[in-house]
Amino acid sequence: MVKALLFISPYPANNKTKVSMTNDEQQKMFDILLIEDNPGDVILIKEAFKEGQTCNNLTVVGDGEAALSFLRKEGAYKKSSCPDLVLLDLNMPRKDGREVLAEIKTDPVLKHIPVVVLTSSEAQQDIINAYNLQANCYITKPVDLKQFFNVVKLIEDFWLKTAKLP
Amino acid sequence: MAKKPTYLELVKKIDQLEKKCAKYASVDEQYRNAESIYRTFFENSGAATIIVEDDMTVSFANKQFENLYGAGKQDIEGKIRWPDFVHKEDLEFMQHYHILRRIDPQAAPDHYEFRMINKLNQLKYIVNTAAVIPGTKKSIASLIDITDRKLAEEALNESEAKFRTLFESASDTIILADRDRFIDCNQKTLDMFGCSREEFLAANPQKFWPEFQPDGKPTLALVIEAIKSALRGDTSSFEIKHCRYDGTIFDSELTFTIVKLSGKNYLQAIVRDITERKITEIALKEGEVKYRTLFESAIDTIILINNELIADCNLATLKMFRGTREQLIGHPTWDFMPEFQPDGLLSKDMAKEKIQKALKGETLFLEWRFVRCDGSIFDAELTFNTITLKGEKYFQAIIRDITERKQAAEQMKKLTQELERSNTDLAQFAYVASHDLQEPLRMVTSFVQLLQHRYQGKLDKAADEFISYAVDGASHMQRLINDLLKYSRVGTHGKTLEPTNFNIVISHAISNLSKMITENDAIINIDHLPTIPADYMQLVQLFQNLISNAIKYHSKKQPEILIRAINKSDFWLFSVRDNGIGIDKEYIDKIFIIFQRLHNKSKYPGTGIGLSICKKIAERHGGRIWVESKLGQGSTFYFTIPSKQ
Repeated sequence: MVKALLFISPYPANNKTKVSMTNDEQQKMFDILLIEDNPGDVILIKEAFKEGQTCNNLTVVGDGEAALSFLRKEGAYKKSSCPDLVLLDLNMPRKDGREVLAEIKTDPVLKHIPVVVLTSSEAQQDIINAYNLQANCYITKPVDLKQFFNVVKLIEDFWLKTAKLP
Repeated sequence: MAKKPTYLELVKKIDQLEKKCAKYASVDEQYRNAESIYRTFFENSGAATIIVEDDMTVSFANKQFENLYGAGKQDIEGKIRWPDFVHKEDLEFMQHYHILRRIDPQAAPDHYEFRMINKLNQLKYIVNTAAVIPGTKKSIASLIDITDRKLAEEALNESEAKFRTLFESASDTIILADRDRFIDCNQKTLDMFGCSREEFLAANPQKFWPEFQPDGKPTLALVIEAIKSALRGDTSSFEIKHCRYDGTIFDSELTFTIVKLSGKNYLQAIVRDITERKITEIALKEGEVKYRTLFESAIDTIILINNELIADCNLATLKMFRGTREQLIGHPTWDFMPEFQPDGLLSKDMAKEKIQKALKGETLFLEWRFVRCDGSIFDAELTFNTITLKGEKYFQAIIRDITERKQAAEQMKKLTQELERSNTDLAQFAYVASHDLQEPLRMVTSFVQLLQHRYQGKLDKAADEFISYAVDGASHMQRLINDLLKYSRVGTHGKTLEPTNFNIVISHAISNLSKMITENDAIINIDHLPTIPADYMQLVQLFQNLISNAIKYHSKKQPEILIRAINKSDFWLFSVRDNGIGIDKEYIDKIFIIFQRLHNKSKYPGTGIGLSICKKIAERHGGRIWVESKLGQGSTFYFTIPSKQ
């Protein structure tokens, strides 16, 4: 068991639009697309990001079709910008996460976007399937709040602060 | 010079001379006549006659002798001596007689037999009558040829000897009887009756029977009846009890035949000792009775079939088919089968195929459907083979009603299926429930924790307490669901059993528990453990649960755990012994039941599912688990894992 630690942010709370500087490095504002149908999870993820006190632009869509429209700048999403990171739930109404993942990763325009699968499923089949569809990372949502916040923090730390994105 | 006779004197003289002459002539004639007579006698005596001189020369021989000897007189008379034609073996006594006769004509027998070898080298049997001719040393011998009679006699003797030998050496007792006495018997008779010939022939025939036969009939009447039959030409044999000379009774077979000897009827009795045959017969009969009893009392139905007809059947058959012997025996087997068997094939077609196989010597074992005499149908197990009885081929069918067994099997199958389905349902339910419960639970847990995180100390004291209970409840439920999930996964997510090194399993389990072990300063001693087929992760889980329990329920003493494995050939017996608080006897049976907890949650936290998981893992491996414990003296958990899959 990974020992649960309460993540304590070293940074003061920040405004979403604000750009902050750390260790002489300009903190870039990232666009994150959260594809999640469960409003509870949306709140929890938002809260987790709030805990992180980093300023990111989080956009939430509630189903797969909306997600693809957003990514392809279709319909109501004509003015959307291409996200730096996609957080994808697997079990959703209409077009589910697996289909969305497959479409993103087979679309030449979209396939470069890192997709983190963030789901409640622990099923081995889902994990294998996701990686086969080129998911960049698969994370099971922890039940415990502290762990949940920690996971979101880790995503932020790795994908937005450590990894170099195009 | 003498006086010249006168004429008269001369005439007288001449007359005298003539008279003398005539007299002589007459004598001569007389002699001549006599000789002629004797000569005629001699020649025509009807017997071969010779006159033998003192020196044994044959001086005269008649016509018959010529024939007998096979040569003419010119070659006999004066040419041969009698020893020339006498058989060498007879020569001695005849020469003896010859000499004797010449000393005293009465000294030698004048009538005897001898064998002659004639000129043609033929053997002739001769009766000789010899006599010395009075006043001479000659003797006359007349020879009568008895060869034909002698040969006939010899042949007769020979054949009699032959028959006597046959008679004596016969393996059956042969007795000749005349009216009411025995006149002859063979050696076998004496052997059989145990007496000498004299004793046998002197005895009354009735001495050799018991007075009554086993059926109560007087023996004499039976014998008289048989003799009457024999006189009518019926020579069939019959069984009768006989007595030996010493009175012991034996079984025999008696045959009477009427034989004619010298024109007279005699009774020939042939007795054969059948004691052994009788014993065999009795044994056979007893055997038959025994087998019949076995046959009749057999629980299984036994039916003998000959040419598709029921030849015989036992009592069990009648019960099974609910019929009488008359309804079954002699009826075609087809009458007791439905037209179609359960698999839809024609009974006759199938049966013919099976019969062919049985004829090849196979013993067939099959399920077959039958029809009882009352028309009801039943399923049976049929054993079918051919047997040979008195040279005839029969089919032996042994039928066992399996209706009940089939029903039971059917029911069992149904129950098993139900159980399997309910097990699957349950596993599915447990899995789905725990899985699907996770989602709302996560919401509850997360939000009460978020509430606590954000508003702890910002509301009143009661609110803080309420939130704290909600958080505790949610996290306990979370653990329960996780354990339930683990429990259900033992059955549904098990891996195939592969050779697993239990030393590595233990290391893995201990490393998972390293923090707990260190915190409690526990000592764990481990025997060398085997490598046997197992599901690695499940065994890690099993040991981990047992070791963590052993540490968790420690007493005031330093926790000490001993892990051992004993090879019991078919399986390995593992034990995990601790020096902890032990388990009250009362609860020993309860600890493996899911969600059973013996202790207060605050003292020993847990879901009460750990040992249920252990039990499920052991059982999934084909083993079992139990505990031996004394309150305050520690517990030993045992479980078995089969050595081979």
